[in-house]
Amino acid sequence: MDITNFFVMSINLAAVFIFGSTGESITEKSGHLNMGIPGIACLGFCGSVLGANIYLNSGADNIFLAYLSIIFFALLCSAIGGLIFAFFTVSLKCNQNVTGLTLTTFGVGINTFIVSTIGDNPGYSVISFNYFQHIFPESFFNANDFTKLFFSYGFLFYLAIFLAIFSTIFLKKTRIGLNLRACGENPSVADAAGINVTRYRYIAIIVGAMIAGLSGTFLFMNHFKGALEYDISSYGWLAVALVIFAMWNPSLSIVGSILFSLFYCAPSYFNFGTYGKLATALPYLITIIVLTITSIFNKKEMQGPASLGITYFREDR
Amino acid sequence: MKKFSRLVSLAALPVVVGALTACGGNGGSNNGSIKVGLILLHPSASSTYDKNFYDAMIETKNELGIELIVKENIPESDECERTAKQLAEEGCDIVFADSFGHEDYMIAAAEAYPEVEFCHATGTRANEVNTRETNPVKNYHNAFASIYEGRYLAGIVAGQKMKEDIEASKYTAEEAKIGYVGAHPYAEVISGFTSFYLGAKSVVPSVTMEVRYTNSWYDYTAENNTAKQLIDDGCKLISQHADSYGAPNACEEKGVPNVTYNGSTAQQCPDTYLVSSKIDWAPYYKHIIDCVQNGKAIETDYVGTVKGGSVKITEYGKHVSEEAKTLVTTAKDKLNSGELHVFDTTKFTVNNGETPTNENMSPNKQYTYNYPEGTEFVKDGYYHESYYRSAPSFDVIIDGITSISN
Amino acid sequence: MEIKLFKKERKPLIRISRKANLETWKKILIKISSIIFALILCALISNIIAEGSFFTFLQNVFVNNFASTKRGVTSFSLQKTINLLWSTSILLIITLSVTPAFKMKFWNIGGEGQILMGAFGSLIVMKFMAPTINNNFAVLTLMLLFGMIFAAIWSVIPAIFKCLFNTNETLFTLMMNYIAMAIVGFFSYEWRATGKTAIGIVNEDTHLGWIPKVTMFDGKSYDYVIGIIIVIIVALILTLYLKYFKQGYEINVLGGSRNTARYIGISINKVTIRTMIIVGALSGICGWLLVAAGSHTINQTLVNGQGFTGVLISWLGHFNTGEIAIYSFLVAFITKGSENAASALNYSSSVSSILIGVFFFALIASEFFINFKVSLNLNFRNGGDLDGHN
Repeated sequence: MDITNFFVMSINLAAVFIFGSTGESITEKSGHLNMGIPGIACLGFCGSVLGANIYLNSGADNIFLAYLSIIFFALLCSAIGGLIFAFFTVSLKCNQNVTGLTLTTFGVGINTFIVSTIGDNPGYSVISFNYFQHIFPESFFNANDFTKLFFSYGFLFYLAIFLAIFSTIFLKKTRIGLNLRACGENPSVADAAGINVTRYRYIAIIVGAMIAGLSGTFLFMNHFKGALEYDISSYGWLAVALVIFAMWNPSLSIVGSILFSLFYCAPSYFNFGTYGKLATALPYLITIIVLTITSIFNKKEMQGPASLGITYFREDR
Repeated sequence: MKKFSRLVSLAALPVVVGALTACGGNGGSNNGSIKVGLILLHPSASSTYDKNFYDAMIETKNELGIELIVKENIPESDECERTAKQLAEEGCDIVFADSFGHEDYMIAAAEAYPEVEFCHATGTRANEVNTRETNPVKNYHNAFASIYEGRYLAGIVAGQKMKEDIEASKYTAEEAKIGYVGAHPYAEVISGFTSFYLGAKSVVPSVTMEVRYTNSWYDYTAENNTAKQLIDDGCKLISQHADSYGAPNACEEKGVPNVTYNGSTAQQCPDTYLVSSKIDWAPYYKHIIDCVQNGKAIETDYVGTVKGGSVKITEYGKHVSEEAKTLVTTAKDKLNSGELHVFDTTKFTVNNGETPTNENMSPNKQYTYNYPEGTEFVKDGYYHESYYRSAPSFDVIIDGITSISN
Repeated sequence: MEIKLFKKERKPLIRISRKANLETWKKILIKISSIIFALILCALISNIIAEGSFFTFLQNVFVNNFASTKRGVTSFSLQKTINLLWSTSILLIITLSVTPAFKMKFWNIGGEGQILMGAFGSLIVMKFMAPTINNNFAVLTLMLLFGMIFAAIWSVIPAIFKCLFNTNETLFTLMMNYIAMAIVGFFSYEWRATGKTAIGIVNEDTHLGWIPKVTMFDGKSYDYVIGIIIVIIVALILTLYLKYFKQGYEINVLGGSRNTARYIGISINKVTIRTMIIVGALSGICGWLLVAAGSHTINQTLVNGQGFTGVLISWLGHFNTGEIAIYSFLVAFITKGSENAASALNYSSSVSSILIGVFFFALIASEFFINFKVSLNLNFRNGGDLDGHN
């Protein structure tokens, strides 16, 4: 038992949730609830495998090309997923929950089908172990527990942290962020003020999907280390939950994701004896407890954007 | 209006069905070739466990020219019963299911279709339902393989690697501890890790083993974390009885040697992969097809052996020495000839030093498997594993192994 | 949606406007067309994946759901038809159990966990109390009662927390799903059968707690028949409740506008908790059916994700029992059909997930054509449109 190791591996897993909840927070701030995030995480995974395959087939041996290929295709596939969702819910004004759930089913199927058709390739693990695991040199982060805790992660992890913090600042401090939040709070007022609600929502949904898709990339390269595991969507659902948990604030979702991840990994690292199976309920129980506590003190913020889930149609005004 | 259109569509259905039926039946008739139905728990594309069964069945199909229907994604519920019955209804001569939890439902289907053979892997109830007084089910069979022999051989490879590491002063003989990631604490798993341990012990007598359970057959994160926990606890080599890449990846990450199950990870984890044991189901499939074709009875409990090709050692990793390979070949010959027994009672003790006898080795009352009173498991100097029934029964934790949460 | 083609001209090319409420027969026509379109699209996709499988796919969907083929002869199979109706009934009651909550805008996505706890309650009776009671009807009734109580407890907890602390019910119910699964997983192992790692089928010998088979007109006895009838009865009762009872009216008002409800004097908390108890009761019935009529056991995959499918069908069916029934049938029909096709044509069953997704997308898109009309502004040079407006 090594507490530092436990923290390191739990925090590493948290990046999956950070990507997912950051992406979904952006989408939800614009007023649309995308329950298709689990499917989009699958699409991101699918795109990463595609990108890794293309990179391997090209015979190149360059870390930048590997990252570029994998991330590009992951973003592409998740953007397509986001585009589908945006088209149905913004343009066709269809119900968001139904579209989201359908997208999840669809994404899971597409991922399993495409990835199993592409097939396994030992090269994925090679790329993963060589390029994705650590960004700082080993001698540096293995020096002591402190450096291990902060510096032993890979590029995608720090990218997740950066995106979360950047999104918070962007949403709070920039004009575009303000406009976006206006779309989510009161789209008819925003529309009257001259904000192109449709365009903002399209972009928010697609950008949100792209970021969420990176959770699939992280799973593929950093968590599964190049192994083709197909249970992606269960992580996606937890990311959707963590958005609410973090009160639609991506920076808070870092804390929430880490907290959740710690309790998620605890039952398989510490010994709970015969109650091991029951202990798997821990992260969810903790989430409920924290949710209750924050609800008591933060009644307003726990509601989310006022127009969340409601489709906006100008003519209805 | 709605109700009317609903009635119309309901009325139209039989017409549609009739029209399409008239277009012709579904493929050719049996024409003497055997028809086999395969029931898989998960899609074979996304699960290595099911893929193992699927690949063996395809190999059999290509060789023998049977007709095959594959039903994937059949959960351990009454859907299995419906599917099995449906396969029987559609003319299958044999229906095979691959998951432990399918058993009860397969038995129900077998009761309903006595002329069809229902075969089930890893199950434990065939003997009971075949011999019971009320409503015996004669067409239901269990199958497994002496995978404990395969694990023993894999254990020898592990032991040899540890011996070489000790000689290279990576750690001392006292520190030689194996970590095992198990799924559930019951006989199939316990038999598996005990035989693995005994194989390693035959090379390094001072070796100990620590076993932890994930309480799941397939959970990447849990297996990964458990393997890391074992490594952090001082284990020098890891093996597992679980289906994902969780443990192999943890080993590759930490540089700890790994013995896998059901498939080689030589290319994905080149630095740490040693060897793997697996069950090859093709010999069994060919056997049951042969039985049906020639009117022979299928065994109630079938145990495939190393000699019969049902238990295989997959390729060796790059860090496996020639000496290890020689040891394995020698041991394999001895197992086949009957000269060597995995659960030789002179090679291990229980309850802190007691010699294994029938009294202290009989399967735990919790796992009685309905063996008749007085069944002799220990005789002729070894524990008879997979002898009376195909499913493993060895479920005692021997000295040298610590099993957490039993 | 606006597409601006000319900088000076501010009139959009494509204009979307809401349709006045369409006649019912037109709506049905659009729906049926979209279903046919979706099926053709699915068959086309199947054709791409497995060459030449267009008609085989359709045959698998339409024929093999009701008929089975033995040695080249296809004949009507009552068993298969009953199986299909059973799958439909299960989806129907799952959907109905989440609908009352959605009607009052309480976003309960915890159906999976609530049904599982209902099944758990039923199983406790079946395993521990049945031997002493020894009367099947009494056992079944007690199982139903326990199932409804367990599920109601599970459903009402998020409602109580919402009323007291205003906790977000989406997150709360989602978490309760996972906790339910952990509990079931734990006890499934704790109470395992000898030699196994799980409970396994309970009362296999006595059939206590098993809903009995029914002998049909062809002389054979079939499972599920009573279960299907029970679901139909429950569906009818629920429809009457929501439509004609004061409580159902209160749910509708609360779903329309909270303020209106408050002005009328409806107690939001009371209605919320009462509705979630009803949701629990329905989930309990569903769980009971899954145990008593279906698998006679419990494990974590008992509900198998259908809780979320129920949410989807509930929305698609506009919370209307009749539509929900039709959609439940269609979903079961297409799912089973595409799985049959995947098996017959030898491609992965993951394809059936894709096809179901396509089918749903087509249905969702059809909503657009029912609710909106698209008009083109072609006469843009003078700044007017097709209708002659300026």
